[in-house]
Amino acid sequence: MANFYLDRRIKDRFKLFQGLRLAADDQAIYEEIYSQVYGEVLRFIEANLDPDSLATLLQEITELPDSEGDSANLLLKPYSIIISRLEGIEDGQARLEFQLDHFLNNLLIQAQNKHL
Amino acid sequence: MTEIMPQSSMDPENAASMLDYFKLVTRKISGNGRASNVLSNLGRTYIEAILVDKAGVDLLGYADRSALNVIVANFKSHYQGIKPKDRTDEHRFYALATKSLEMRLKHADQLDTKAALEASNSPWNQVLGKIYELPEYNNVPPALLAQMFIPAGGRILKEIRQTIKDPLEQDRLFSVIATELATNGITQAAAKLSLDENNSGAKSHRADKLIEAALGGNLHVELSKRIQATVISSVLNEAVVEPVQHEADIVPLKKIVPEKPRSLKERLESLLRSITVEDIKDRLLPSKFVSAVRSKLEKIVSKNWKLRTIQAALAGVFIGGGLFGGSYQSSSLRLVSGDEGKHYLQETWIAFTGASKQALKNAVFNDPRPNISAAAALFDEKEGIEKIIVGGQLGYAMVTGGTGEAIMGDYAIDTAATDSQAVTTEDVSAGAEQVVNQPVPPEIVAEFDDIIGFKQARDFLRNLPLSYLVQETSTDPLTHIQTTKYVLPEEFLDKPGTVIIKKLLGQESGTLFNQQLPENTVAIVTDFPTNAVAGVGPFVMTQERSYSVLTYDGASSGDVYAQSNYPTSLAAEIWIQNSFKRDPIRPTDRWETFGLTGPEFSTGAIRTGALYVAVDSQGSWSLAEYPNVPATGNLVNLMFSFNQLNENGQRVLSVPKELMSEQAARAVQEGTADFLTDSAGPSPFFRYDPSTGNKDFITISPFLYLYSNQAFRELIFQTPFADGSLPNPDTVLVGAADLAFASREYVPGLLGEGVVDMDLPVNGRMADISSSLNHTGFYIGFNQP
Repeated sequence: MANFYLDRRIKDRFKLFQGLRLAADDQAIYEEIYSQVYGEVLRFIEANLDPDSLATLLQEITELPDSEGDSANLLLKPYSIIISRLEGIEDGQARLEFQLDHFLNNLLIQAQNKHL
Repeated sequence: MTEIMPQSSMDPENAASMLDYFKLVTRKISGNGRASNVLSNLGRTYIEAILVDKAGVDLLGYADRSALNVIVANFKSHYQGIKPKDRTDEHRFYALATKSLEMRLKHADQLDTKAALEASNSPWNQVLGKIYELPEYNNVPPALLAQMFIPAGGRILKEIRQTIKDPLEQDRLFSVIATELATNGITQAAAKLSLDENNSGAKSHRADKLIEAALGGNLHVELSKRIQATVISSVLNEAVVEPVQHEADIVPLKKIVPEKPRSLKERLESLLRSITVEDIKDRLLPSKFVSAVRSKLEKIVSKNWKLRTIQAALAGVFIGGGLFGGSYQSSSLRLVSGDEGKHYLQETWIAFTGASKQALKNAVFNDPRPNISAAAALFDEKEGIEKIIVGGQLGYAMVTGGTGEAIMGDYAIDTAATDSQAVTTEDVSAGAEQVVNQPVPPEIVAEFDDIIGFKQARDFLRNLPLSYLVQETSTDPLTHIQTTKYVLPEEFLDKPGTVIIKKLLGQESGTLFNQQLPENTVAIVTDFPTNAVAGVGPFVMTQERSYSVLTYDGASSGDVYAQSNYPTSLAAEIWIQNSFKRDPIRPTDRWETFGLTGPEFSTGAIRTGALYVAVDSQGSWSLAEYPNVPATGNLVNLMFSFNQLNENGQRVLSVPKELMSEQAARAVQEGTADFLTDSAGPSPFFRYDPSTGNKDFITISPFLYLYSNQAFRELIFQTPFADGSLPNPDTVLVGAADLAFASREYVPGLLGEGVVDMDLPVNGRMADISSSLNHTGFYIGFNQP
């Protein structure tokens, strides 16, 4: 699933940006979902890399510079390194795509079932 | 091979009757010398073409499973009942294709089942949690326990999928069943099984029995009851529930984000929460890795940056679907500089590695090239050259934007290609004539009829003259925008090659806003009447209405749009470039509307010849090359220039090298581009001839300049402006913005679809443009009286 479909599914599942909620609420939900998706990607990579590869990856992330000038890169760089590891996981891309699809569905179903 | 097919059978699958099946199957000799039939590369490509055409992928990217089953059944019908020894290549191809497709579907189902059970929020985790509490399982390592119960979970999912098509509804029912099992089913069944079987047998063998007992009997029968009940209930609901009531199902904000995050810190903390390990037993996963990333993110939180920093960070990573695919590759593209920058990088790397800081500083400040010394001064002012340890680092930082921004003044990517794939003006400069539609010669039709693969299609497109495309000129009666479309002739339609050619031309894919070139259209030349007005400045993303609220802290899209003096009726919103990390404006630009000038522009650190789109105070646009740019008005650097002066002072049409080596372009050239998922859309070009003042837009199929050199060259030089004159190849300027982000264009006017009255939501707030990270956009349309 390309970013294109992931983004469409998020908007479609949660009925975002269709004028059904306040625009600011839509935006907050949108950001929260992408945050959750980011977390799921991390968990997927963690669960599927062998210990040596995981250790190397950890080291690479730890050694990234923390300078303030690299503010956006603090998120971007770890992510681009992490996502590049999908290539080393058998069927990594397809499995992650499937997993994110179920993850999004469950997120919606659980939110709908939630009693506040 | 040139036999014309009846209309009814002109789809890729039926077109197979024209194929030489021998090419679709190849012989493979195994280690023991035995020969077997396997699919050839062409055979595999052919299956892909059938899948693209028939599998019915919907707007959300889901393939229609029943359509896939029909394809398999159709394949089988070609060879069923024929003994293997009597099979021809045609039969062999369909037998191999069936086997290949069935294996792929089975494999995909297995992956999907595992994914459904392994998602961190899978309802199956509740079931595993209950099983883990049972005495006989609480010594089993959680990961092994999860493995043991995958088959049982898989059987439930399989039953559900056979009846319910919608993936969301499948997961919803699975969630209901898992909750039922976890609530009391597992505990009660375990008690019953313990009495009945006295704990005999391997644990894994008992997994199925446990689940079956928890459901109350035979798994198939019990699940069928529940699935049927769900289907009937949903059909009943469909019939009685009014659309308005469906809206009541909209999940409110507080159910997803209990406390709406407002500040930078709160937003990042929300991100941290999402990757925090809360219940190891449910998640069954190790946590070191998540902790490492978490600690990295905590450093961002601890810095307590301004709101716009988090906006840049979150927007860059999450918003706009930037998580996957080529986004990262293409975002690196805009930080790469031109040849001058690269040479400087090499020089500094070699000359100053190990040199003292003082020697380095002296050298860069006294460099005779004004770009280098200006960039060095700017770098020193912003970063402090003292921080640099070796020359190589300085070169890298200055050239690539390693400090967060490119400051060399020539980051606009417009170095010319020199290899054989470059389009050239050689046969254009002398006596070029306007392209006139010609009938397609029979030998070209025959060549087209032979297309059954992407390689042939690419060869065919490479030298296709524009004259074989049909020209359709029309003028919009309301706006007087004139469009001339270049459309595939009927000789190229409804044939096996049509699907492949159209796929190569990206015509099946749209922009983020579902904009596509009109059917069968390869390019459009668009002329605007003189009352059209243009604007450049912040990219508002008019079709993504919450975008401005995020970027401008409460001001709406309508507020920002009005403040930027953009036209009230919009014909085109063209994405120019992403935001840069610190300044509200790109370093090379000047937005007089907002009193902003980029630091490179103000210091003159701009490469000579860099192409700009200029918009004056009256809303009239033109193109200009630095330093010959207008002294007043808005100026925006275009990333790509296609008809630049070479070192001999002659203009040469060429495709910028970086544009050709960019990831998507490589995929095009290698034939692996997937426009359906890469979302490349119509790509607009600016064309302006300063010798006459003529100007227009040419909107082309994505990557046409790579596929079809001749047609691209003819579009640029041999299609007339509105007054009927051709551009002068020695003076015309041709440019384009960030083509890697063509998917964000919204250009109905360029596509001949009229204009859109801007009724964007207005919050009545002034956007603080000068303290925001603005993306850059170009707008053209009309101001209603």
